[in-house]
Amino acid sequence: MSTVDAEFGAIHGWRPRLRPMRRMAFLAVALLACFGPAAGADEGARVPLEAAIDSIVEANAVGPLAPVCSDADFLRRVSIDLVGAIPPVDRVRAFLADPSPDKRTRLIDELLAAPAHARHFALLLDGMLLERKAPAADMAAAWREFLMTALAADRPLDQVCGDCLASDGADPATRPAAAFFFAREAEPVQMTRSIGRIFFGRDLQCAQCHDHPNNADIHQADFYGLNAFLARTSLFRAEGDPKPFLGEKADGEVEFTSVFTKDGQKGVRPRVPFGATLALEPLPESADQYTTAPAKNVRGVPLHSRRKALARMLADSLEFRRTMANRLWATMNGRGLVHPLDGLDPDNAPTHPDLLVLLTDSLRASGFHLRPLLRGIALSRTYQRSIEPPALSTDALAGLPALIDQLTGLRPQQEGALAPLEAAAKEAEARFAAILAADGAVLGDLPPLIEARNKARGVADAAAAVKKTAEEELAKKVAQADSLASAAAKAGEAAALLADDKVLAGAAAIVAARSAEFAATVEGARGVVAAKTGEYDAAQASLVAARQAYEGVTAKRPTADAITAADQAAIAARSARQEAGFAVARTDLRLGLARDLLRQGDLAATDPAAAAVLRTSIEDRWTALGQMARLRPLSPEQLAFSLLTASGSMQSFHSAAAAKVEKEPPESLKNAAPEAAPAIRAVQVELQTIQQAAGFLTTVAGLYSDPLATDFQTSVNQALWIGNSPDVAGSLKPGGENLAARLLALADDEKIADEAFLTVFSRTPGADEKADVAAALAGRADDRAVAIAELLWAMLSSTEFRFNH
Amino acid sequence: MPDSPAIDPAAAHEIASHKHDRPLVSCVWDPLSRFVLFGSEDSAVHRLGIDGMGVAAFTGAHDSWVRALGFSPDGRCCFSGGYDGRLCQWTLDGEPAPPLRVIQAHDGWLRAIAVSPDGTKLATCGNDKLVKLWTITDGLVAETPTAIGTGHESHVYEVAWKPDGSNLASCDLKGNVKEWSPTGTLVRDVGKAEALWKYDEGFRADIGGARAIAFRADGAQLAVGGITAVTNAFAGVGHPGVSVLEWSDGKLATLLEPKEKQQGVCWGIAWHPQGIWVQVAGGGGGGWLRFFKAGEANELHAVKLPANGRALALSPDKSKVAVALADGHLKIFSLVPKPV
Amino acid sequence: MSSNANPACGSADHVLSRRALLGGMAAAAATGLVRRPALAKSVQGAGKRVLQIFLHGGVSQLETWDPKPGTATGGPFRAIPTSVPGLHISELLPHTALQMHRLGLIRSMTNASDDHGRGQREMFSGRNQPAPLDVPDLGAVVAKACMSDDFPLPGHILIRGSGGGPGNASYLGPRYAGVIMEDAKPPAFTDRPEGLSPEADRRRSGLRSRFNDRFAARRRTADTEAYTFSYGQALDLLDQRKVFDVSLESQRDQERYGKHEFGRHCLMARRLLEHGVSFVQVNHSNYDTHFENFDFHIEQLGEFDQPFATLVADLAARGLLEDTLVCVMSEFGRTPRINAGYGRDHWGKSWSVLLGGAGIQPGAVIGATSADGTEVIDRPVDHGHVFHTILQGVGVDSTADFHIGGSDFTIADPAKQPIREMLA
Repeated sequence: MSTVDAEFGAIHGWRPRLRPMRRMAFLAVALLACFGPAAGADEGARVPLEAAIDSIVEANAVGPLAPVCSDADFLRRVSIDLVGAIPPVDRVRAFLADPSPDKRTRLIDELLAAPAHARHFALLLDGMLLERKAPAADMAAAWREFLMTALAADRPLDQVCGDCLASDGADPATRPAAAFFFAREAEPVQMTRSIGRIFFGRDLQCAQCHDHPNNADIHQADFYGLNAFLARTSLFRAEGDPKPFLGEKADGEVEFTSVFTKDGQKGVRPRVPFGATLALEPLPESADQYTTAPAKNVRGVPLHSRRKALARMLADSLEFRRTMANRLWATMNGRGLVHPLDGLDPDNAPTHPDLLVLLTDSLRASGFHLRPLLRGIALSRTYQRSIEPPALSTDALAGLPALIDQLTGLRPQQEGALAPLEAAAKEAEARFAAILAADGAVLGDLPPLIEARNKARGVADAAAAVKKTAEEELAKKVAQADSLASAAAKAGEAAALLADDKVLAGAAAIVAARSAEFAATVEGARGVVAAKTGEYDAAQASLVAARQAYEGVTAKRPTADAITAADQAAIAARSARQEAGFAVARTDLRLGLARDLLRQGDLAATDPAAAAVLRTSIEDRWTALGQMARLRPLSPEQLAFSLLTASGSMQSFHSAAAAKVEKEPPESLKNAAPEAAPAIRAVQVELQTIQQAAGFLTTVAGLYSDPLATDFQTSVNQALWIGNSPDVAGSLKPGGENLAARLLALADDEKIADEAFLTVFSRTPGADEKADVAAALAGRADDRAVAIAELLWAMLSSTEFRFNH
Repeated sequence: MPDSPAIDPAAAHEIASHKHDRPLVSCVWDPLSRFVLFGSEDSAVHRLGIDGMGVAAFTGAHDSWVRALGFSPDGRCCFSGGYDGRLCQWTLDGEPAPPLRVIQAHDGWLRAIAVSPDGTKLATCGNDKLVKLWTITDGLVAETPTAIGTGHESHVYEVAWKPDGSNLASCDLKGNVKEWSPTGTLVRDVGKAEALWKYDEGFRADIGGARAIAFRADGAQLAVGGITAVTNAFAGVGHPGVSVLEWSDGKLATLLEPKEKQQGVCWGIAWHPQGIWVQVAGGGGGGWLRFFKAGEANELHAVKLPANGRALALSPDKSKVAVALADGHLKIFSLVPKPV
Repeated sequence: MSSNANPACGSADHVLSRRALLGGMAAAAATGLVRRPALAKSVQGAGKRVLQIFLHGGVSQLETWDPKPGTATGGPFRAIPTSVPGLHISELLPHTALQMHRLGLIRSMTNASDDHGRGQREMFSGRNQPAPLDVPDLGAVVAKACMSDDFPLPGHILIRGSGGGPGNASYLGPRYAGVIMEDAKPPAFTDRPEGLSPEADRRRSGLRSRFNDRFAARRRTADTEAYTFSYGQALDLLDQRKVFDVSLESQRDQERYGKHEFGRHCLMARRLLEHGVSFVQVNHSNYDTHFENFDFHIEQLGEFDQPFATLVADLAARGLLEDTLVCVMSEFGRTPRINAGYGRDHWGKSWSVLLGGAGIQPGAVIGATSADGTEVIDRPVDHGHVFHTILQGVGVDSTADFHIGGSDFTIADPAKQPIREMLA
C-alpha cells in the first residue's frame, strides 16, 4: 500500500513536458491545472483522477445513471480485475462484514499491493505482447519472470515495452524481452503489424500494399514508416548454437509502391505511427557504422540501431500513450473507450474523447506507472456502477428534450470547426513534407561527396606515413653524420699532436674524407623530406577541400530544430483535427441516444418486440458511455484461477508453490539482500503457482482464448469440457480442504447454501436460492456427495460465474 | 559348364563399361557368354554384346520397367518380366525381333523370373502375391501357367530354384520364405528373413522384402538380400543386409552386413563355388561390390562403385561379374588377377 | 456464438449480430416462442460442406493425377483412361479413375515451398508463409462461413491416424477451432464422466437454468444468451454422440470401405458429412517417399484408392456431392527426377491438386506441365488460388472480409483469385 501512495504522490510532484497540441479538450486543460505545476504547490486545487473521470462521464450522460453496485458485486469485480480471480471466501466474509465507509478504497490498495496483482498483470501483458504465440520453449519461464518482476516492481510501462523493442537478446538482463521479436521470427512485416496494433492502436496491415481502403487516416507511408525501424533487424543464429538473437544492419532503406496507384516512395524515413519522424539520423561518417559488422556467424550490431531508436521514441508518442491508456481502461471495463483496441480512426471515435485524453495524460503524469491509473479508475463511480440497467422513470426522461435542443445547437458549431482544422492540418503536413523533401534532396547529393572525402582522407593518411618515414631516415643520417664529424675532428687533433706518425695522419685523412662524403647523403635525405612534405601538404589541402565541399552541402540541410518543429506542428494539427471530429461523433452518439430514449417509450406500447430490441441497443450505448457497468466474460486466466479458487485447488497450489520456493530457493532469492528477499520470494511464489497450475491454464486457454481479444465467443467445446472433463469433475469431488469436502461436512442445508454461495458467487444466497439448494439436497442422503457435486457444477457453469458483473 | 578359374576378390578390376541413357534396374548373363542383358528405367530389353556386338534394344512388348530377366541353361530361351506384369520370350541372336511370346502373367508388377536348372520350367512371382509356374516345351513357354502358388500374404519379390532343380523357393515383402514343388504345391513355410522387414509406425508403411535371392550350390543355404536395421523407411535409413538361412529349418545361419554401415539396399546376391557370397548394394553416395566368405558376417573385400548397384550377375564361368548401376552404367569386373 | 461477419451472408451489415440474436430472444420472450435463436437462415453458406483429404508428406503427382508414362521421369507405372474421355491418371488409382467425371484436376500447382511445415501451413491457410499474421486454417474458415449458429456438432473436424495440423482457428476464435478425432474416435469430452447418468446431467442442468434465470433477471445480454445456449448445444451433442460412432454404419458399408484405417476414416467422414458437419479433414499418412517411391505409392495409394472412390460415389448417390466440395491435396508434390534409391524428393514447382463436388466443374482439368513434368507450362496457380476456389465452390465470397470485433480480416489472400474456369 505504501508503494502505491508513494507512486500516486509521484503524480503530484510531476512537472509537465506536455506540448500544446495535447490540450484540445477543455477538461484536459483543467487537468493540467490539477496535475500540473499548480498541483504540487496547492494541494487543494488537485482533482483526483477518479473525480475527473466521473465528471466527464456524468457531464455527458444521456438519461439515468445506474446506481453504484453492491459491496458483493464490487468485491468480486475488483478482485477479478486487479488480481485475476474471484476473492477467497474468508475475504468475502470479512469485506461484507466490514462496516467502515472507506473499505472499498482500502480493498483496492490491498489488491494493488498484492503479489497476485503482479501475476495477473504479467499474464495480461503476456497476452498483449505475444498475442498468445508461444515464446521459444527455453524462454517461456524467463519471459514470464521478466514480466512478473517488472510488474511487482511497478516498472514504468514505457520501459517494459521499450525493452521488448530494444533487446537483441545478447544482454542476459534483458534477453527475455527479446521473446517479443523471437515469437514472430523477427519477420519485419509481421513485426510492423504487431507493433502497430499493440503499441500504437492501429492495424496497419491493409496499408502494406496500398493506402487503407476504409480508413482515410492510414496511409501506406504509415506502414512503411514503422517498417523502416524494423526492416534492418533479423533473427540471428550462430552455427551450432540454437539460441536466437537479433542482428541488425546499419544500412538498407525501405521503399514501397501502391498496387493501386503505382505511386510510391523510396528511402522512407522511419516514423512512429502518426508521430515523430526519425529525421536526423547520424550521417554515415565512414565504413565503420558498426560496433560489430555482420558476417558469417557474426551478429551485426550497428552504432545507431533504428530498432532501439523506436524504443527510445515510445514515451514521447501520443499514440503509444493513448493506446496504453485505452488498453488499461479496457482491462478495467471490459472494453476500450476506442473499440477495438487497434481500431482508432476518424470513423471509429472514442466514446469519450476527453476521458481518453485525461487517461493518456495521466499515464505520462504517473511516469507510466500502472497502479495510479488502475487505482483512480477503480475508485471512480463509473467503474463501480451496477450492471443493472437503470429504470426509465418519467423524470429520468424529463431532461431529454432540453438536452436534445442543446446538442442540436452544439452540433453545427462543432461541425463548423472541422473545415479550418482540416485545412490547418493539411497545410502543416505539407510544410513538414516540404522540409523533409528538401532534406531528402540534400541527402541525395551526399554519397559522391562522402566518397570523395573518404578517398582524400585515404590519400592524406598515406602521404603522412611516407613523410614520417622520410623524416626518420633523415634523423638517422644526421646522427651518423654528426658522429663521423666528431670522429674526424678527434682524429685530426691526434694527427696534429703526433705529426711524424704518417699512418695516423693517413687514417685521420680517411676519416675526414668519409665525413665530408657523408654530409652529401644527409643533404640527399633532406631533399626527400622536403619533397614528401610537399606531397603531404597537397594531400591535406585536397582533404580539407573535400571536407568543405561535403560540409558545404550538409550545411544546406534544414536544422534539427526546424525539422522537429515542423514535424510536431503537423502532428499537433492532425491531432487537433481528429479530436474535433471525435467531439462531433460523441454529440451524434448522445443525440441519437436521447432521441431513442424518447422513442422507446412510445414503441413499448405499440410494438413490444421492437421496443425490446431498441432497449437492448440503448443499454449497449449506456454501457459504452459508462452510465452502467458492462457485463463481461472472464478472460481464460481469470476463469481458470476463479475455478481453482472456488473449488479450493488454488489454495493448495499456492501453498505447494510456497513450499517449493522454500525448499529449492532460486538463485535470485538465495543471493538477495535480506530487505529485498520478501519481494523476490513473493514473485517466485507466484511464478511457481503459475507452474503448478500450468496444465490447467493451458487447457482453459486452449478452449477459451481469443487470440486477438475480439468479441465474446463461446463454443460447445467449452461446455463439453466443463460438463465432462475429469479436470472439472475431479475438482467437485470432496478432498482435503476443498469446497466439496467443506460442504459435505456441513449438516445444515442453510449453512451449505451460505458456504457455497459465499465461495462461488462471493455473496450470500437469497431465500429462494436457499430453497433451491435445499430442494437439490432433499432426499439425497445416500448420495449426498454426488448431490453436492451437482450443486457446485450448476453454480460453476452458471452465467453469474462466467461473467464479471 | 566350364570349371571356374580361381578368383581373388582383392584383385577384382573393371574390364568393361557401358553407359546407358537411363538408370539400370536389372542384368543377367547369357549362359553362352555371348552377351549381357539389362533392363533400365524404360520398357526395353537391352542386349550388350561381349565381343564387340554392340548394343541392341528389344522393344514393343513391355510398357514398364524390365526388372526380371532369365535364360534357359542352354541359352536358347530368353525371358523377360516387367512391372507391367508381362512375361515375354525373345529370340536374341541377330537383329532385334518381335517377342515370341507376350503373356499377361501377373496382376501388377512381375518382380522375378527363375528358369529351372533342366530348362523345362519357368517360375515367376509378383505383386498379386502369387507364384506361377510355366512349362517350357520345344523352347517355347506355355501361354498359361501350369500351376499357381497361393499362400503369400504380401507382394512376392523373388523366386529361385534349388540347384538340384527339385523345388522352388520364394520370398515376399515381409521376408517370408516358402518352398514350392515343381507342380506348384506349397511344400512348407521355410522361415522368415526377420532382419529384412519392418512396419514403420512413423510413416505407416512396410519397408523391406527380398531384393535379391540365391541358393548355395549345394542347396543347403538360401541367401536373401535387402535392407536391414531400418530407422527411417522413407529416407531409406538402413544398410544392406543378406539373411543366409539354413534351408533345412529356415533358421538364420549368417546375417551378412557391411563393415561400414553405409545406407543402402542389397540388390544382388550370387554364390561363387569358391565359397564366397558376391553382393552388390548402394551406399556412401555410390555403390559397393562386396565379397563375403561363407559363414562370416562382414565382408572379405569391397569394391567401390560410382553409383548404387541395382543388380548383379556372375558370368557362366564365374570369373566375371556384371553390375547394373543407378547412373546407367553396366560394368563388368574380372575377379581373376591380371596376368603379370 | 459470434457477433462476427459472415461473408457468406452477403448482406451489407456483416454483423451477424448478437443484437439480432438478442432481438430474436427478446421477441421470442415477448411472444413466448422458441428457446433457441434461429440464425441459420441468415447464413447462405449453411448446408454446404468441405471434405479435405490430406495426403500427408507429399503425394507424387506422377503416380496420381499427372502421369508421364514412358518418360525418364515417369516411373514404372502406366496411365489409365478415366470416366472423363481423354483424361488419364495413374494406374494406381483404378477406382478413382471411374469417379473422375465427378471431379476436377489442377495440374499446374506451383509454389516455393519444399518444407513440410511451410507447405502444410500454406495449403491449410492459403497464405504464403511465414504470414505476417497468424491466419485460420481452411477448416475454421469454412466452419465460420458455412456452419449455422445453432448447429450442435463441431463444424471443423479432423480425422487422423497421425500427422495433420492443429486445426488453427486463429482470430476466428475457439468456436471454429478443429476438433480432432484420433483414429476416428469421438472428440474429447463427448462422453459423460464416470458416474454421471443422463438423468443426473439433466438434473444439474436444470439447477443451472434456475441460477441463470435468476441472474438474467438482473442483466440479460446476447453474451449471456450465447453462453447458456452453448450448454444446450452440449446436451444436444451428447444426445447425438452416436454420430461419432462409425461402428453404427452397416456391416456392408464397413466392408465396402475396408477395415483398415483409411477406409474407416472415410466412412467416418461420410457419416459426419451426412450429419451436416461443415468441414471434415481425413489425413492419410504418409507419402514422404524419398526412398522406394514406387513401392510405397503402391502401398499407400492401394489404401487410398478404393475408400476414396467409394466415398465420392456414395456422396454422389446420396445427393450430398452437390453441396460437398471434395479436395485431395498434399503440402507439395515430388521431384520428377527419380533418385538413386528409387525415391522422389520434395517438389513445389509443378504438382497437382484434385477438387470436385460443390461448385466445381465436373471433369475440369486446369493447367498442364511439360512432357517430363518438371515445369508448369500453362495456368500456374498456388495454395492461394486453391483456397479462394474452394471457398467460392461452397458459395463463400472469398474476396470479402471477416469483420471480427470491429477489425477487418481478408478471408483469403487478396493478391490471389479463384480459378474461375474450375468453377461450375
